[in-house]
Parts: sequence; structure tokens; C-alpha cells
Amino acid sequence: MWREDNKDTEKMEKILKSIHIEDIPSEEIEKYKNEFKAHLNENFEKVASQKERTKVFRMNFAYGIVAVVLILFAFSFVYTRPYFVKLAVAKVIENKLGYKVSLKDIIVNDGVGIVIYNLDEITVDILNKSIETNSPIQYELSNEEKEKAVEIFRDSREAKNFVLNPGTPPQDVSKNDILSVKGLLFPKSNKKLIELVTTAYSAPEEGTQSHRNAACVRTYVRFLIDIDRGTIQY
Amino acid sequence: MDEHELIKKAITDREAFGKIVDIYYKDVFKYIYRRTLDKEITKDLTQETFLNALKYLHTYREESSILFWLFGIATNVVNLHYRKEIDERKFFERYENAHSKNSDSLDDEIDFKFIHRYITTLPEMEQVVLTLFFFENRTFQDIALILNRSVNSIRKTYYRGLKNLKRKLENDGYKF
Repeated sequence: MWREDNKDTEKMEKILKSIHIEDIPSEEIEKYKNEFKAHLNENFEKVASQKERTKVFRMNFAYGIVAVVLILFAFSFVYTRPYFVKLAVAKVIENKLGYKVSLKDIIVNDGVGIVIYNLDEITVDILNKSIETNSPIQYELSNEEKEKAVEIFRDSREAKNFVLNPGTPPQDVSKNDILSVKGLLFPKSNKKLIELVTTAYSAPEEGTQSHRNAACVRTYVRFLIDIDRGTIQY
Repeated sequence: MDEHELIKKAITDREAFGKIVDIYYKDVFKYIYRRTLDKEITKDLTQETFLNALKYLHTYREESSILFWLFGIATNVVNLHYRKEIDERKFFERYENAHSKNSDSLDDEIDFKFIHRYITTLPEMEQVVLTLFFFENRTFQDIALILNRSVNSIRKTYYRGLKNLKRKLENDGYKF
């Protein structure tokens, strides 16, 4: 099959090579060439200016694209900048204080990141990587704020499935007595949190003599409520 | 003035471009004629080739000779012409005329007009490669430079073209 194909190809090549092409007289080509050169003399400037126009158009187009990209970048930076500040703040806190904070808990204000952690307000200036820690100021809560805080607490998943110590079963503390409700104002961020203290019960320690008959121990638990978000803050 | 200087000058200088036309017009004309076999069309397409060359001379990178670059432009101009012809249905009339039932042996002497009619029915790339190889006496390396393709791909197109040409001739009753 391959040999037959090869033979056919060779034959086709032989036929094509044997074809004689009648040459066009040089004078005739020369005549066409001169006609074209005359046409060229008339149109050279036109083609050259067309070329220049195309070049200018291309340059303008390229500048236009660059301008659009810059504008888009500037616009997107307005939205992406806080995110980058949050990332930097989280990194500084992790490196200097050794704990991780969630990006959603960081507040960005004038390029400074603020996060509330363990009842402390930590302010991080990402430019000089300095950290400032402030304690909250207590403020007088309105009745409305109090009621809202209690409502958030009673409906929260955290209160309904509260785990006192790791490894102990969850308990529902949402209906327990509320011992105190305090308003806390964090000075740098102006963030308000409500501290609510309630009761919970811890199981007696295993292995102690009184373990079998001992009653559960009553203890106090503190919840921090963010009424703006309607959530419990850890 | 060497070729490099001449090309550089020809981008903006009418006289210098005129010299390029003087040197290469004949070769380009002949190549286009071998693809079209019509003097009037060849005249127009050669003119178009040189006008395109003037327009894009600043993009010429000297990777191949200026003649091969002009052949590349001419190839595109001719291909575009045939595509327009197909759109206008002229091509099919011509293709129909190329066909007739025969029982002749192809050992008989055949002329270029006859084979050209069949070549123009081949796919574009096969037409170009066969014309450049057989009627312009260019090597595979030259064709690869003209068409900006690899030698291997040109070789493949060449054999496929021969096979297709033979099949078309056989379909019309010619014997080998």
C-alpha cells in the first residue's frame, strides 16, 4: 500500500516537473511595471499618510487602553485597600502578640486597623507597625439597648449550646438568670459592646471522693454582645 | 546602497521604493501569474501586493529575504482574491469547466493550463506549496520561510497536495 502510494506520488511529481510554462515576454511585464510605477508616483503620499493615520490611531488606542486600566485600578483600589490593610493588621498581631484574629473583626479607620480582643482594643498602625492597647470605658445603657442585648443573648446559638470547658457536654444557658448587663465603649473605634453575665453549671471533677453524689457547681459566664451586628462576640 | 539601507529608506522615500519595485516586480508578477493564469488579474494583484508592501514595510524584520517577504504578501493577496471569487460563485463555474470525462492516459504531454485548473481546486495551502515548488522552483526551506511555517509542515502539505491532485484527476477518468 505504502509502496503503491509512493509510486503514484513519484509519477505525479514527474508529471508536474515535465510541465513547460510559457514565459510572459519581459517587455510586457516591463510595461505593467511602468504603469504601476506611474500609479505609485501619484499615490505614494496618500499611502504614506494613510500609514501615518493608522500609526496615530494605534498610539491613541494604546493610550486609551492604558488610561482605562489605570482608572479601573484606581477604582478597584478604593474597594481592595481595606482588605489589604486588614491582612497587614492580622499579620502584625500574629507576629507581635501571637494570636490570630479573624479579618471580619478588624475595623479599618484612616489606614489604621482596630480589633477588639479579650476586652482590649488593639490599634495597629501598619506603616510603622506599632501596636497600642486600650481598655474600654463603661457607659450607661438605655433600656432599649438592654432589652435588645438580652433578646440577642436568649436567641443565640452560642447560649443554647454553651460549652463551659472543652470536652464537657453543651448546656442551654439561654434561659438562665441574667446577673448583670454593662455597656462598654472602646475609645479608638467608638465601638460599643454589651457585657452580659449569666450563670452556668460545671460538672464536679471526676475521681474525687464526692464525685458520685456531688451536685453540679454553679459558675458565672460572661458574654459580649454586639448589638449593631446582632451577634455574640468572642 | 545595500538592500538593508534601501528597505529602510523605502519606508518614507518614493524613489527608494521605486527601486524595490524595479528589482522585484518581475518575480512577483510571474509568481502571481502562475497562480492565476490571467494577465489582467495578475497585474491588479501585483499592484495590490506592492501597495501592501509599502503599507507594511516598517514591519519587515529581515528574517528572510525581501523577495520571500513579498512572496508571502502575494500569497495572501492571491488567496484573498480566490476567497472573494468563491463568494461570488465564479470559482464553481471554472471548476465545472475543469471537469470532463476522460479515458486519456496522463503519460500524454499536458500543459500548464490544464493542470492549473485542477490545482486551483485544491485547498489554499496545497495550491501555494505546489505552485512554489514546481513552477517557481523553490525548495521546502524557501517555502517555509515564505509562508512562515516549519519545513515539516510544508513537506506534509506537499504530499497531501500531490495525493489530492492525483485523486481529482482520477475522478475525472485520467489514468496513471
